[in-house]
Amino acid sequence: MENSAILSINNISIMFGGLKALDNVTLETKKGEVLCIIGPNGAGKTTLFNCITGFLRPSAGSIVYRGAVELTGKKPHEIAAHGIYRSFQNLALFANVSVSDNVMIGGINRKEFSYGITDMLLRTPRFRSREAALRHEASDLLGFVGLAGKKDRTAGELAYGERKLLELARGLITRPQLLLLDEPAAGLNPTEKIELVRAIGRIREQAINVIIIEHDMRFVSDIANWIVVLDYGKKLAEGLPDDIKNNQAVIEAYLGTR
Amino acid sequence: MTYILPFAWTVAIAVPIMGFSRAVMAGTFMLAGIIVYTAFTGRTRRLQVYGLLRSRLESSFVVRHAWILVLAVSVIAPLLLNSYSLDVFTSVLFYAMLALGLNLLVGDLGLLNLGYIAFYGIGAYTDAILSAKFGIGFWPSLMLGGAAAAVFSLVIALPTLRLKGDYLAIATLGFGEIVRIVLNNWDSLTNGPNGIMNIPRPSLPWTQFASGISFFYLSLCILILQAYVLVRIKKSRFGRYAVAIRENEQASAMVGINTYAVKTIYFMLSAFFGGIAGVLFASKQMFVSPDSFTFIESVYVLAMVILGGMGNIAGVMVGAFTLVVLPELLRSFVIYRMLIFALLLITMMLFRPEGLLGKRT
Ligand SMILES: Nc1ncnc2c1ncn2[C@@H]1O[C@H](COP(=O)(O)OP(=O)(O)O)[C@@H](O)[C@H]1O
Ligand SMILES: [Mg+2]
Repeated sequence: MENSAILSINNISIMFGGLKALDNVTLETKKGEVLCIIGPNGAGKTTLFNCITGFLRPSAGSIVYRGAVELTGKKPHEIAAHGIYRSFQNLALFANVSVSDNVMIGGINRKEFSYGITDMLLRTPRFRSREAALRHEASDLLGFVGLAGKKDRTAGELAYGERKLLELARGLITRPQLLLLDEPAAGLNPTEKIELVRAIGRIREQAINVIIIEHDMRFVSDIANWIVVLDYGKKLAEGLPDDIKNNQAVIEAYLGTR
Repeated sequence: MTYILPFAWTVAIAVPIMGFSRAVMAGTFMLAGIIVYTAFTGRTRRLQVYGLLRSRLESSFVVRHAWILVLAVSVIAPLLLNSYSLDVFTSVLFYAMLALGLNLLVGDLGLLNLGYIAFYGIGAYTDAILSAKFGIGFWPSLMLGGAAAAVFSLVIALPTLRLKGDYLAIATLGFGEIVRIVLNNWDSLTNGPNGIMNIPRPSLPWTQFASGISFFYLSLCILILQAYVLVRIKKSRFGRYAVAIRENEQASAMVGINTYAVKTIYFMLSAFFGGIAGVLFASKQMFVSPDSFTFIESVYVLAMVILGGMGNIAGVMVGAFTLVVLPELLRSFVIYRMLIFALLLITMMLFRPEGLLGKRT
């Protein structure tokens, strides 16, 4: 069992002033799984993502990636280099940069797109072919998420739903092994949600692990293999979607407060 | 209203300082500026046709190849100029180098540096000390001046680049002042307020850069080299990382950009170019003193970056040209230079915040 865990979070806690935003949380996600984290507003879901991706450091506990790599104490860009990509709840795009450049920037850790200073200064064949390959892949991924026609716009010019798709495309070019999505469906219209579910399905086929924070119960039961419920920084319950839907404590704490 | 308000405003501010007739002149100048800008931005409906014209112009073959013309003029013009004008144009080159160097921070990374002139000073004094006191030639000094500025930039970059931008602005402001004060007081090394004289001009085995014109061409070559390097950076993955950091630092870190490293390297590179310009400046003047590196000079360079269009390499050079040549054309205004710049910048912010040639990302 131990070695099939992609991410193991062991007893992590973090305090903000007097507030225990995460209180001794333990959870695990296995290879090929789509894990959903649900819970009322302020439950600590985003804080959990911030701990995993190095934006916050938990005061106690450990976060172990692939059974071997300790993530706590690492910087965000180091964690990204391990193949972990995360989307932000309130979008984090490069607004005044073209849609295609937004995706290309995500290619930083792909060896096949990399070149050195000399290549850059002299425009060597390596520079040209790798830039071209990067541009090409960015354009493929924009096609995949349905933004092919908007390559040359700036990200700031896109509609809300399109921006979420762009953030996903930028994530895919990093070739993530673990994708953390913070409320990806929030603010999407029904058609865009269907598009998103489809995209996530295809991502899973590529053996990418996905952890999703989500409010929409229907959306969650469509895609999740496993659900963890957080409430006031504590893990309230976990289980299969059907079990969670019928769990009395969850209904009271979470569904009841909606 | 678009025209009357800034006119009245300018005159009102200027009257107590310049007297009435000059204030009206300043106001008229401002008005002319505004009319030109509104024409180019096509803000007012009446003048929209110019806006249309402008977008046509921008995509036209002629405009896209304007740099060839600019280059040709910069090569030929010095042959026709008197030595005074040649000096002005040589200082355009120095300021263009500075503005391009500062633009790496302000335009690309979105970080404010209010003490940039310190690196110019460090470069200039490195050349002065090494070549006037120790007889080290110009060429090693050129590299060492750039390197010294880059190394000194770490003093400020390492502790502040992890912090938010505002701290950097304040720290660089302090750094600029400290450098000037040290130059002013370290008598044994810098000769204090008297400065260092007899700095030799550069030479190559087959030629001496003794004349103003040969020095102009030397500086032009170095500026072209610098602009080339900057264009290449801008069009590479490294340039994209810098802009990404400006746009969203968290997201940059999250996709895997080592934001601290990129910022530090940009800071050093920016200082390096400042240092190189400083070496050229010292060697052109054959004399340096701390007076050349005051806070107002930093503001002046910053104004060039903003005027030309932050992040736009061609624009920044146009900004340098404008702010060096304009005061020369308006000799009678020279003492009010800062006032006019302030007004010009305010007007720019109001009417064309993206700079003369516009922002480039
Ligand atoms: N950086 C921070 N500083 C102080 N308090 C924070 C910070 N981040 C989150 N919190 C608090 O921690 C709690 C959990 O927040 P969050 O993780 O964003 O909840 P959610 O489950 O809605 O994503 C909230 O009460 C929030 O106000
Ligand atoms: Mg949240």
